[in-house]
Amino acid sequence: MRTVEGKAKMADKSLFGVWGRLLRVDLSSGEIGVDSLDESLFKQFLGGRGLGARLLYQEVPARTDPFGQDNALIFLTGPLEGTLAPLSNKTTVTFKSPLTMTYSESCCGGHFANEIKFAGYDGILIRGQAQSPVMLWIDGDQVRIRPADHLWGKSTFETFTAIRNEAGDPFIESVVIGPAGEKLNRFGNIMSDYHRDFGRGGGGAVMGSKNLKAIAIRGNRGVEVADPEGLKAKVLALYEQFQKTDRAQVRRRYGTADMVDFINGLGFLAVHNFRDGQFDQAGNLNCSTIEKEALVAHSSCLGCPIRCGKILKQRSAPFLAIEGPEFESIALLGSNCGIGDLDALIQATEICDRYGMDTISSGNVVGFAMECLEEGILKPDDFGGLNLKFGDPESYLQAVEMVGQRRHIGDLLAEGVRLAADKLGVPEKAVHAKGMEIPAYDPRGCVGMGLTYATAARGGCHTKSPTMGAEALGDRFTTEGKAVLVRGLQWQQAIMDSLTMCMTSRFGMHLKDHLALWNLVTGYPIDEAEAEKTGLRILNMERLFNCREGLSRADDTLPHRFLKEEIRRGPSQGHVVELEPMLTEYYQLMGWDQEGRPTEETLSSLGLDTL
Amino acid sequence: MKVLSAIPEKCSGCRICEFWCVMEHHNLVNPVKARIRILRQPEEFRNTPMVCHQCQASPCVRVCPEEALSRDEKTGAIRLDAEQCTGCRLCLNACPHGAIAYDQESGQPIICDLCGENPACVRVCPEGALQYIGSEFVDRSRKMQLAEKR
Repeated sequence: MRTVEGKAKMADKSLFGVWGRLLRVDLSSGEIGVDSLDESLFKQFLGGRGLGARLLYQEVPARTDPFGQDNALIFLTGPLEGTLAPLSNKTTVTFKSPLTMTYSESCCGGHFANEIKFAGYDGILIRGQAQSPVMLWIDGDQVRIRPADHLWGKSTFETFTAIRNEAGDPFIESVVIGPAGEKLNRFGNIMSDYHRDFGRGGGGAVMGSKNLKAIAIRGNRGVEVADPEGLKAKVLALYEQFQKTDRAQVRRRYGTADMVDFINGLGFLAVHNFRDGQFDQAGNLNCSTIEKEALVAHSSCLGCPIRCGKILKQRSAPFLAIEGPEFESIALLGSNCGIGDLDALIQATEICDRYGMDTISSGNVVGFAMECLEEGILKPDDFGGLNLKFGDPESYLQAVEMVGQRRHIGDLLAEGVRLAADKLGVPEKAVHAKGMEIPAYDPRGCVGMGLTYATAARGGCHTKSPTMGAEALGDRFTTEGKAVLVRGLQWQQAIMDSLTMCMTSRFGMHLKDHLALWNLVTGYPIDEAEAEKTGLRILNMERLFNCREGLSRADDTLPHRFLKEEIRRGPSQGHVVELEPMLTEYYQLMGWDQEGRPTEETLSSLGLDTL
Repeated sequence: MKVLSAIPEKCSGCRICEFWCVMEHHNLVNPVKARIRILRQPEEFRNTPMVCHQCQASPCVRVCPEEALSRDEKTGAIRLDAEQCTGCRLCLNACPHGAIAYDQESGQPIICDLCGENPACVRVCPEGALQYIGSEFVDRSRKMQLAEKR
C-alpha cells in the first residue's frame, strides 16, 4: 500500500472547487505520487477536456505508440464536481487513441468523477504497463496497485460486482474494461457504474494495453465553494429552468430516443451503412414505441433532475434488461444494420456493454461488414459460415458477439472500420473521420455536421459541435454560414466539456449559466469574452497535438461516401457534402493557415506561443 | 405529526438529496456526512433511499447506553446530546433503516434532524421520491403504486 503525501485543504486556495492535486501512477515502476496542478492551469483550461488536452501535450510526445508504455490515460474532473451544480458529473479521459492514432478524449457520466473529488484529487494520470493484470484501488490517501488476474477475462458487469463485493462496500465507484479492451479492440471502451461508458476512441484498449482492469475509488473529503448561498440560489433557479424548458422535459421523459423521429423524418439517419438516410422500420425504435413496449424505469447520473437514462427490458426471452440503448446506439446498432427489432437492439447493446466496446463503432463496423457480404467482398465463410444480412436479428447478434470475442472476421473488425476496409481493399465503404467511426447523423442531410466530423480533434464525433438543431430550423443543405455555426458551437462545447457538464445541460442552461456556476464555485469570475478565448484556447491546444503528429488539411476530411455518393432515398436523397469551401472558411475564422495549422499570431493571442 | 418517507420505486439515484443535506448542515458537500444516502445497485436497477423514519419506538434511542439520544415529542426528530454521546455506535447498528452514519471528526453519529421541520432533501428531490407528510397519510403513495401495478 502506498500513502500519498499531503492533506489538501480547499480553503487555503484562492481558487475554490479544485484541489490542485493530480494522482500520478506509473504501472511499470509501481511508483505512485501526487503532482500539484497550478491554479493558472485551471484558469486557462478550466478542467476536464481542456486540462486533459494541455496535460496530454506535455506527457505524450509525437509518434508515441498508443499501446506502448509511454501513452498516458488522464482521468480528470471539473471544478464544479463535488458541488451542488446540476448535471456536473462527467469524468473525462484523455489519451492517444489506437483508433485515430492521435489525440482523443472521451467522457462519461455517472458517479465516478465526484468520488475522485471526494478522494482529494482533481484527476488520475496513469502511465506505464503492468507486468500482469492489476487494478488500482484508491481509498483517499491510501493508493494501492493490486493484482487483478482473477478479474481478467470477466465481463464489465461481473467486474463491477466483484469489486463491490470484494471491498464489502456498495458505495464504491469504479471504472472497468471488459474483454474487448483486454483484447485491444481499437474501440474497446471504459465503463463506469455498470451502464455508463467512456464510449469513444478506444480508451478501453489503452487501459487493456497497460494491463489495467479497473480503478476503484472512495473518498471522504468535503468540497467547499466560494459562494455557498449564491450557488444554492442559482441551482434552485436552474432546477426551475429545466422544468420550464420543453426540450429538457421531453428528454426527461424519453431520453435521447426522441431524436429518432426527428432525424429519420428529415432523412439523415445512419441507415444500411450510411446509404439510405431514412429507415422504414424507425417506428419500431422511436421513443413512443420504446416507452410503450420496453421502458421499466428511469436512471440518473449524479445531480441530474433530467435523468435521461432509460432502463429497457426485452419483451421476449432472455428478457434482458439494460440501461439504454440511447439514440446513438439505436441508430448505429439499429437502423445502420437495418435492425428494426427492438428486442434484438436491446440485446446488441447488452453485448457491447458486456464486452466493453463502443456501440457507435460496433454498429458502424457491423453495418460495414453487412455491406461487404452483400457485395461479395466478404463471404459467409469469413464469419464461420454465418450468413450475415441487413435486418436479420439472429445473424446480426452473432456478428456483434464475434466482434467482442475477436472471432473469425470479428478479429479484423475489432481493428476499426478504417483498418478493416484498407485490408479488404474497399476504403470507399468505410464511414469514419480520422479513423473514428461516424455516429448517427448523415452529414449529407445536415452539412454542418460534415464540418463537425471533419474538424473534431478526436475524429468522427457529433458532440463537439452539434449543429443539427440549428440546421434543421434553417437550410440544412447549404454550406453558407456553417463554418461560423461550427466554430461557435465548438468553443462553447469545449467550455461545457472542460467544466465537465453534461451536454444535455444546454436544454435549459445557456453559456451565462455555465459561467455563473463556475464563478460561484471558484470565486474567479470569467465573462463571456474571456470564455470564448478559453474555449478557443482549448480547441487550439487539441489542434497542436494533432499538428505535432503530422495531421494536416488532408486529414480534416470525410469518407468517400459523404463526398461523392448521393443518399439513395428519403428527403435528403441526392445530396452530398461540399466540404472544401466550409473548411477554407473555418480555417480563416479559427486563425489557422490553409493547411490547418494555428498561426503564430493565433497562438500568441491565446497564450499558447510558449509551448 | 409529520414523518419522512421514501418511495424507493420513484428514486432515480441522482443523489441530489445527499448533496443538499450536507450543504444544509456543513456548508460543503461530502457524502460521508450526509443524513440521507441513496444505496444504488445498478445491476438490479435498484435505488434505496436510506433516511431516518422517526420511528415511534426509536430503537436508536432505546439502545443508547448513555441516554444521549432522545426523540423530540413535537416533531419526532432524533436529538443528539453531544455531551453524553461516547460514539459507541450501538445506535448505528440498531437502526432498522440503515439511516445512521458516523462522523469521523466528532466521533459521533450523524442522524437526520428534519432541518427544522423543513427537510432539504424533500424540497429538492426531482422525482417526488421523498415526502414529509402526516404519518397517518404515509401509506397512500404505497397504495397508489400497488393499484397501478395491477
